[in-house]
Amino acid sequence: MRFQVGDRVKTLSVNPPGHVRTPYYARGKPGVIERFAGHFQNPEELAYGRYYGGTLELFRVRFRQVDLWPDYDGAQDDTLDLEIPEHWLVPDHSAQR
Amino acid sequence: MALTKPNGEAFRGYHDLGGMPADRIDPTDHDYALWERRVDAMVVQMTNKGYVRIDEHRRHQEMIGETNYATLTYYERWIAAFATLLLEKGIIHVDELRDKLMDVERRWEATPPTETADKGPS
Repeated sequence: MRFQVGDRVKTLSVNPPGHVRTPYYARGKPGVIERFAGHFQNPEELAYGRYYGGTLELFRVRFRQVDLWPDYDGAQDDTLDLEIPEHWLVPDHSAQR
Repeated sequence: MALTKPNGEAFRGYHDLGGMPADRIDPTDHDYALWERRVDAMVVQMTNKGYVRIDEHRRHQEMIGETNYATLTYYERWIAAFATLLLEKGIIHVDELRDKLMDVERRWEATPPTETADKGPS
């Protein structure tokens, strides 16, 4: 498995055309692997009728709301979980949080 | 690499609305018209039987144009996108779709639906 629970990760900061499931507001953001969510085919390929590709690992990633929204005024430890496939995630070796 | 438009803005789908200003969401439950139930049943059945994938349907919803995306209702968006998806895949043909639409229009003109009757396609 590419990531373990508790690993710090960052979502890719890319904005490609096409069918993209990682929401705009969650790109280039730091988070923590909350759980492995299973193997799934790539929706970005399925969207174009290519049904026979392999599977990707899907992870539930926990983000801090203050990391997602620069003007977030709720509790500092509020979080949001998103399910993100492995190819949108890289290890985050930057600052400890 | 972040692909950008000529003006430097990043590509962002007009359907990708998370974080955009919006009105309050109305959380009350509402009923669905018969035609909306039919659209739902058709899409779910064709997906379950493997003719199409939900991701393809989503892509077609993202391709219906920004104005359409913002103004059509949920199931109007569904049926418009499903029609173009079925055309693309060759499951239906433009002649069939045109003939059916003309057929429905003729029936509509012959017996205009009353306010309470189902107004949807059949």
